[in-house]
Amino acid sequence: MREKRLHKLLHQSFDRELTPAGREVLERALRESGELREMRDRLQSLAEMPFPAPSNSFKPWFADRTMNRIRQLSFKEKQVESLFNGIFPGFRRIALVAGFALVLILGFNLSTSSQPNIADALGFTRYSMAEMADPITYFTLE
Amino acid sequence: MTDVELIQNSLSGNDAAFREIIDRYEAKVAATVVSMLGNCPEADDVGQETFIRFYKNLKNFRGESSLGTYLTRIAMNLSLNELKRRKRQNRIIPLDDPGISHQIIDHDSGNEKRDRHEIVQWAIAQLTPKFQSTLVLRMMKGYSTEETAKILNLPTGTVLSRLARARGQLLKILEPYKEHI
Repeated sequence: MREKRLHKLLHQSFDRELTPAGREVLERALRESGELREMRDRLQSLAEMPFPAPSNSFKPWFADRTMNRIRQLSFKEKQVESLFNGIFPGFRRIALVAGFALVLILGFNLSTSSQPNIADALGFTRYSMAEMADPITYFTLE
Repeated sequence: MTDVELIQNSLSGNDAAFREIIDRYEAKVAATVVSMLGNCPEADDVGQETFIRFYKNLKNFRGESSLGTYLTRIAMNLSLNELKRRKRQNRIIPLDDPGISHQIIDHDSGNEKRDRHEIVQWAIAQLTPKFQSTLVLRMMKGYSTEETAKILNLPTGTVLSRLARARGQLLKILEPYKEHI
């Protein structure tokens, strides 16, 4: 357990400032343990290792190629947008006319019906329970 | 022109301003992506995708972190996605086995440094993506532990433990080549 904590402290000492208490514990442990000192040396050599300098560019003309893709995307988005802008007003007109026609039909049905109700307004034929129970009526229902 | 001014100009449809952002940050993004994926055609695609994602989300950039850190975060996430995709497809791009190159190290030539770098690069590529990403940001790109945590969206404690485990794994991988490094 103690060993694990010391290893953790040792690793952390390479990544951040240790607390004074933590540093003292680690220094004491390093004085006492040859194994810990060996580990510190290995970590030190790793820290000093010649890490490859990261590549600092992509293939040539990277900015041009990226801008072209962005322009293509913007163009496609605009095309879809203009398509919807063209279709939507057309659909809106059809929907308005259909809605108006529905209101006219409902109004007409309601005004000509003796007992105004939804079924009559929508032009449904109403059947009594007796008619529904009659097999001949049932099978000839449309 | 500052980054903020460039972003504002890009938002108002100025393509030249966004191009300037790409020119300014290409090196930073390339360093992240190539360190994670190696020098392969996918690295270029991921680099482009990084800037495209940023372009689409320009409005959402609130400037809480620097533009460089923000782009590094996008680049790192996309690189990790690419590594996951490779794993799903079982398509691992093998870097040159240093077992071959370390035999031809000529200590008197200028190639020695390059060969050492190849070995280290190969060893880093052997790590799992989560350890690789932590190590690349902390040890290759020189971000502090806190910055690394911010970029990877992880608690600092997790970054510290990942670094410790990554270092441990790296030491094991490099054990046979320690004379050459």
